[in-house]
Amino acid sequence: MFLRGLTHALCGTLLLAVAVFASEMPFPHPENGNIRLTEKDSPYILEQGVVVSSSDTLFVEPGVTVLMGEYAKLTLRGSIHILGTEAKPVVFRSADSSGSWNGMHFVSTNRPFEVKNFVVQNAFRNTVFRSRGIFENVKFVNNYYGLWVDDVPEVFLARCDFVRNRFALSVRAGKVISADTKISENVYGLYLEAGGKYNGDVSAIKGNLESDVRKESDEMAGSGKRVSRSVWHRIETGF
Amino acid sequence: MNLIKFCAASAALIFLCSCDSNDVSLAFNTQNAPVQKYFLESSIDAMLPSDSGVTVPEAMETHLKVQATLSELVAYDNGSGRFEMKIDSVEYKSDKRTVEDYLYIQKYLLTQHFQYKMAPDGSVSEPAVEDVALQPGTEELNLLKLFMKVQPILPGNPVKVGETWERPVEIPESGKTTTVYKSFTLEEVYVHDGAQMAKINMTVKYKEQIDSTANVQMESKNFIVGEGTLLFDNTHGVVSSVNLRFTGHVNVTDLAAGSVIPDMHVLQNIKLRSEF
Repeated sequence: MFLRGLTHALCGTLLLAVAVFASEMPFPHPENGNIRLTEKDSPYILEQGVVVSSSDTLFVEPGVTVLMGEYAKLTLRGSIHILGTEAKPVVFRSADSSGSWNGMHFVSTNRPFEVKNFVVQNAFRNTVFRSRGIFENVKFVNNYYGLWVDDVPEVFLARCDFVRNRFALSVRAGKVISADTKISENVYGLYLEAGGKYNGDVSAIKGNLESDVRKESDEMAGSGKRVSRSVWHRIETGF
Repeated sequence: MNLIKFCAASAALIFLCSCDSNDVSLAFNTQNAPVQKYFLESSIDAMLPSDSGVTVPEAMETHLKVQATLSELVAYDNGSGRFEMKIDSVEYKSDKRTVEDYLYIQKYLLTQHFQYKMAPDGSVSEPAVEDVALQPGTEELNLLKLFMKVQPILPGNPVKVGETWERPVEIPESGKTTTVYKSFTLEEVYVHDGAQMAKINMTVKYKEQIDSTANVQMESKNFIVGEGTLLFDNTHGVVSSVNLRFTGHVNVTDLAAGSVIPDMHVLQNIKLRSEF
C-alpha cells in the first residue's frame, strides 16, 4: 500500500516536472532576419549561447520571461527591441534561482538598442561594448556585474534600478547619462575606470555595502600603482 | 659473374639499410588516431621592470590547468584528419581576478570545445571553436590559441638525429593573425615501452602585434621567445609531452587611460601531456 502510494507520488512529480519542462518554449531561431518572443509562447528557455547577428532583429513583447540555463549567453549584434510595459515587464533570469547564467552582451555597433520595462537577474555579467542605446525602467537585480559599459559613446539610463548586484555599474572609456536612476543595496555601487564618465545624480548612488562611488585612478594613485586591471587582463588573454 | 652481381647487390642493400636506420620518418596518426587525454597547463608571470621608477612592485600570477579529450572525427582520403578537443575540466586562478571571476572563467572555458583539421606533419587548418556564441573575444582566455602555440610541426620527410627544420604557423585570433616561427631539432630517438620515441628540441618565436580592435593594445618590439622539449610517440603518431618556457617584453597601451606601460616582462610556462 505504502509502495503504491510512493509510486503514485513519484509518477505525479515526474509528470509535473515533464509538464513544466514541456511548457517552456526553446529560444527561437531567426526567421527572415527576425527573432520575435511573444507573451503567448512565454516562458522561453535558453540553455546555450545565442548570437543575434548584425543582420537580425530581436523583438521581445511585454510579459515575456526567458529562463536561462547556466551556460546561456546572449550576444546581441543586431537591432534590439526589448519592450516590456510597466504592467508587463520582460524578465530574463536564471532558470534555477540559486544558479547564474553568463549574461547579455550588447555589441550592436550600427544600430542603437532599445530596452524598456525589463528585469535582468542572476547573470554573471551584462555588458555594453561599442554600442549605444537606452535602458528605461530596467532593473538589474542580483547580477555579479550588473552592467559593464566599455568603449561606448553614450548609454542612457532612465529610471533604472541596480539592486543586490556585486558590482552594480562599471564604466570604462565611455559615458553613461543617467536620469532618476538608483544604485543602492549592492556591494559596490558605481566604478569608474579609465575614461569612464557618469552624468547623473550621484546622490542617488547610496546605501551600497562597501562603497557607493569608486574611481580606479584614485585607487591606483592612493596605492602608488601604475598598472590597471584592464592592462593585466589584456596581458593574460593576449600573451 | 653471378657471384659478383650477388655481392654487389648485397653490399648496396646493406648500405641502404644502414642509411635508412639513421633516418626517422615522423608522422602524426591522422587516419585511426587513438582517443587521447590531454593535460594542458599554462602559467603566466608578468611584472613591471624594477627600473621603471615604480614605488610599489607590481606583478601578476595566473595559472590555468585543463583536462581535455582529443578524438578523431573524420579521416580524409588526402591523409589529413578532423579532430575534436572536448574540454573535460578546468582549474583557473589569477591574483588579478576575484574568486567569482575564476568560477565564471572555469565555466566558460568548459564550453570552449574546438575542432581542427590536421595533416600528418601536424599542420593545423580550419581551427574553430564549436559554439560560435562562445567564440572568445579579445579579453577572454583562448584555449585554441594556447593549443596552437604548442602544437608541433613535423618535418614531412625522413630526418636524422641532429637535423633541424623550421615552419611558420599562422594563429588566428579575434582582430589579428600572429605568425609564429617554430623550429625543431631531432635530439634523440629511443624505444620506451615498445614505442619509438623522438625527443625534439622546440623553439618558438613571434612578435606580439597590435590588435587594432582592442582598446588596450599590446605589442612587442622584439621577439617573444619560447624554448623547450617535445616528446613524440612515433609508433602511435601522437604527442607524448611538450614543455615550453616563453619569455618576452611587451608594451601595453591603454587608449582609454592614455597611458603606456613599457617593457612589461612576461614569462609563460606551458606544459602538455597526453595519455591514451
